[in-house]
Amino acid sequence: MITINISGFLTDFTGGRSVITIDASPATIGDALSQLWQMYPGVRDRVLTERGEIRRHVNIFLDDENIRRKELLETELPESSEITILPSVSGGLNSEGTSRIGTIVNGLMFTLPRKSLPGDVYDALSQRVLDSNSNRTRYEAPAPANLTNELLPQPSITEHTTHHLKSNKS
Amino acid sequence: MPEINHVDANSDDVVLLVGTMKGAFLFSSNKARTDWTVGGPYFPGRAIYALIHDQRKGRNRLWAAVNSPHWGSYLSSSEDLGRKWTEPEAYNIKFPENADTSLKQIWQIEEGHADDPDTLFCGVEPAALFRSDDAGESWSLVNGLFDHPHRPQWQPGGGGLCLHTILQDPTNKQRMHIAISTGGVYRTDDGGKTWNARNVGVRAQFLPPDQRYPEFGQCVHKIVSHPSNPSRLFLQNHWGLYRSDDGADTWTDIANGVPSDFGFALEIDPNDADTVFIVPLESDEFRCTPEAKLRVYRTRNAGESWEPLENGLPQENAFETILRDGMSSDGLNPAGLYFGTRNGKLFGSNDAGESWQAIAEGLPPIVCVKTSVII
Repeated sequence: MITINISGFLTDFTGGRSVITIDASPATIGDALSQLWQMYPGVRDRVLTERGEIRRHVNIFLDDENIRRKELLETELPESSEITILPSVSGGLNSEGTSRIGTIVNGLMFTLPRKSLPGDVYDALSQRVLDSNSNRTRYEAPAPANLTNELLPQPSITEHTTHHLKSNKS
Repeated sequence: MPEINHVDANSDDVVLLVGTMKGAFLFSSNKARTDWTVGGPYFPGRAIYALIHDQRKGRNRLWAAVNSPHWGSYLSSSEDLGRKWTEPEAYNIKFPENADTSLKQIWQIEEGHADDPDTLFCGVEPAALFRSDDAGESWSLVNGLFDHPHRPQWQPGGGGLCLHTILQDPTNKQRMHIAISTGGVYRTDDGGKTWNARNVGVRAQFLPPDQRYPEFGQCVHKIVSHPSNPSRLFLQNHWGLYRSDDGADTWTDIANGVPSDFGFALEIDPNDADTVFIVPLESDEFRCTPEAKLRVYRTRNAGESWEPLENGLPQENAFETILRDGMSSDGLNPAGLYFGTRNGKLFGSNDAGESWQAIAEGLPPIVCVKTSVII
């Protein structure tokens, strides 16, 4: 049996399942993923390019090892293996130059595989990484002192709506 | 995830379609174009490089180019002004399996000729053109351009090797111009079967002095034309501002009196084929508005002279960048003109640029502003 762990966004295409088991014994990672695509076709194009290559910023872990090499899909799969599909996280560094739960290598942050931490700790940390990615802040220059709301509206959409906009919440 | 608001729009209302690096927004107003309702963010966290509102054949269909560095790019549509968006199980824009490349980003969506109300075009990175003849249900690569012998020599500009502009000739459905950074302008006169470079007179500043006018390879940032005179085109280059009066066969420098001929944004007045708007940037090394003044420049004589438009725009400490799809007009009279900045500010004019209003700030970096007048 093979276990495939996937992250938050991809569960939109698996009926909400983050842990998927494959009862058969696929020989390679590619075989296992092919079975995943058959079960949940929507995952495929999010993980693979149209050339059948793993997208550059998607990481595939086989148990504890991050498999990012050309022969990834041909990598042999021992029985009872665990495959984890995660987005890589570029940026979001702290002041020491390391990520919150991973390490930057060649500009990519490799997150820790599920088995390396207790499940609840892993989930919490992984979510932090995903949150930090989706909400990553950009550099904001200080507001010039003489560029104030004489010319510009209030500084946020929420406040803005009270002055200039009407908001229809759904 | 953020709370998502929605807009309503009735006949004759104006809707701004604003794509940012972290989602899409819609702004709705009546014909006065002074008070705006905001909707979004849609696709929070995703870069929305292109938006369009297809109202042909009675449709009310928004299209969005949704780009993620992790999960790839696809086209999504909405039939209800953004309340619901499609999330296709299989991505709809794909290179054929035997192609030597894969999709990086979707940069542009455009409607086809008026005689073909189910036709859409899509420009992508790496530079290629896709076509749909069933209103976006299916798409196919335009092989005539993809197989062009110049393609292996096209090089990526700062934003990538993208096909970013698609101009369908309204008077000749066989003719189309496209622009590629960095490849230049290409034209087809046979519905996309064959394409020819159309860059005579356009400078490639980044090449050695004796090679600055190549057949192709220019970094064209934007081209526009007016429906009433599609053989006249205007071009904002990576250094250089040009006009063609012969369907892009030749180009003439028209940077007469602008503070810089470097820039991205370029738009034509829908009511006057001689009136064009640009937002010059200081240089390729310092891509901000010159003198820290946010000024739109307008010509009313097809580039013979230019005048700054600054009423209502910040004239101090305005270090702004407006990108190639960051400016758009609405087709009303007087024309509404709108632009967004990389600092997330959205400005609008309801009098063809004579005066400006700040519509929003605090948005993510704006990469696309399109307009739609509700039928």
